Amino acid sequence: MKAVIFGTGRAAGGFVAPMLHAAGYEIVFVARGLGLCEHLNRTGCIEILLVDGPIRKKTLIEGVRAVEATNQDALSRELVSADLIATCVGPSNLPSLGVVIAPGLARRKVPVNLIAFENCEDAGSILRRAVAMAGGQVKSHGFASGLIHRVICRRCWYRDSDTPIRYIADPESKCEIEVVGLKAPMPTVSGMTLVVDHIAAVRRKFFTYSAAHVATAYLGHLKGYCSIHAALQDQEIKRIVKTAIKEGQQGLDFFYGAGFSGGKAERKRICKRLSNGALRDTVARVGREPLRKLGGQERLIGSASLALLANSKAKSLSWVTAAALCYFDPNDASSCQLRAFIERYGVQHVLHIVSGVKPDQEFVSRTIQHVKQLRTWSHSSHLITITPLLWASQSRPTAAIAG
Amino acid sequence: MKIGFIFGHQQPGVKSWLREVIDLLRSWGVDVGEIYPGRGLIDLSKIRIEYDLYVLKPSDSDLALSYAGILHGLGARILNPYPVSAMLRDKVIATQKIQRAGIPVPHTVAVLKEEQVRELLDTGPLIVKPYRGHLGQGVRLIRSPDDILPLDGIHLAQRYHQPDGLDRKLYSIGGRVFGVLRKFPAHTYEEKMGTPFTVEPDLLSLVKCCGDAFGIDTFGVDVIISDGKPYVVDMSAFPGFKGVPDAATRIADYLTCYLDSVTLNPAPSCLVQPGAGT
Repeated sequence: MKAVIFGTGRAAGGFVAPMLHAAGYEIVFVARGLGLCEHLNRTGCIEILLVDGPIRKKTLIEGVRAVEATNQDALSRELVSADLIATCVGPSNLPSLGVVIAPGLARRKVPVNLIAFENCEDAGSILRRAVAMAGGQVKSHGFASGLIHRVICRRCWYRDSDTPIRYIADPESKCEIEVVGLKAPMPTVSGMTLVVDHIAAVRRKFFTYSAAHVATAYLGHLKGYCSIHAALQDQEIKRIVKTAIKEGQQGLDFFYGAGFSGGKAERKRICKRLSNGALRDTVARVGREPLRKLGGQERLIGSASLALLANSKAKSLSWVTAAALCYFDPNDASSCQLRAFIERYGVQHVLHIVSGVKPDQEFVSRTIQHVKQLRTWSHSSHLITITPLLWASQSRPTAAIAG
Repeated sequence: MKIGFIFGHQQPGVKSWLREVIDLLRSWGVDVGEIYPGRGLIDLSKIRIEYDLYVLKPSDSDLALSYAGILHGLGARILNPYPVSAMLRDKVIATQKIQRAGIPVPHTVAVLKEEQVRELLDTGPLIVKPYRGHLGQGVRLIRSPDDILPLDGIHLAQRYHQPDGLDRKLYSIGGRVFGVLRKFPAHTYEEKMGTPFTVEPDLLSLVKCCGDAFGIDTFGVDVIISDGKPYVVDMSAFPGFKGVPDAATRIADYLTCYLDSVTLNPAPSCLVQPGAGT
């Protein structure tokens, strides 16, 4: 059996490849860039380092190959004989895969399943549309979305050496695949759970784990922490993060049925995962791109919207949203843009445009209030406590932020 | 990732903040070593760099300092580098360096004899402290000749400025500044912990100047305010950070991030890609 995986990034190498390799698939990566492709072919393997506190487990995935994404002939040959095709290229890159995949699929005599492992609700459909638009045959093939729960925080690539590319990740092995889009025969892969409602699965991940992840980052940033595990060690942050997850869970349970979100046990599990210091996951990595993360369907606002439907006040999510709106990292273009937007248009307008939240909501007014409280915050200062607001040092107030 | 803590004779207690730092680091998968040069024999020829980073816990142990000096000579990475720790251990050198950096300190004279203190008393009360003092030990306020006790070795005599209020204990952890208001002398646990306060811009820049003077970003500075003017009265390279909320977590966080920044930062041929998507 052979699996062709588009992408060599963290999800591709840190989760999909080892999962499929363990299920007996030969792994062929489709790499962007000749250097990476040559490196994979030279070393013939990748290394996965699963870390959980002091526990470390190293696995070498041998017998991997790679083809360069622009080498259409070689790629088509691999696609023709593949038993499974997976993509892990990021949602924004999915549409461009259509023209790359279509020629290979056209030459196939038997159907194949394509699984898009992307962090979005409808990755399988996007991929299907992209292939169809490129003139590819889509009816006989399966297109499904895949959801990875593992955190792969780092990829280390020693370009000119014979050292395998190393992926550092947590041991989480949960993976959910949308069953609706798949064609028989179904892939049988250990660790893969087939789900009917993929959107529900994505929301469950986004509004619990992902929300907690960014909440820790944004609150951690306010309090001057560098890493996620350290920020969560701060009891005040932990309390807000736990409540934020709970609010998201209230919305999920209201919408999808009692018990869907996993309740207290899941909150505990999430906090334990975020406390995994061996990942060295940083506030800067998790907090980056706040503009995207403040999107209406995303982890904070999406979670709050659902919570509000369940009659929750979403008070903690409001604090976290305010912290996200105040997030600033000069190395992150999105946060610079966000700050400029807020200074120019005001928080309410930004929340309306970026997040699609109606201005008349109590959640919005509460969030604006929090942002106003935080407005003296600047890159050089940080909080000692959030309630009450106690700054470690005084700094010049940033430009007045309009409501 | 390996971090070695160099202690004097004493092992940090079960409830000490430094034990908390060590336990946290271990729970995060860091290989932490505790080095006690004062225990047993030290074969100088066998001292090697065994850790990615060392932290010297300043104490009254000169041996720990010497041990750090040997490691420094071998090229070890020490958070509070040996030359700085050695300078700050010697209050004569430290005070002069702070003074030279343009930072306000009370008028200070190095003294050896009681008569010298008596002479200085003519112009007002003094604070007299041993030049290699530690944890406030041996610090005395001298208002009259009757307060003068025999001096055992070199001391510093500093002009006493009546503080306007409580002492300001200022701490920098990786450049992040924290302030704690504390009574001097502190007797009860509450007094020793003090109260966190928001550091004003003037004090903030004073702390940064102190760090710049020695080229360190993790340290403590004691400041008194007298007649509205701040004076730096002491500085230490790796203090106890007493009263800083979540100090142990912040130190452990800083140590791992600092080490990540120097060890994971790729050589030109290595690309460490943390990735954007979460």
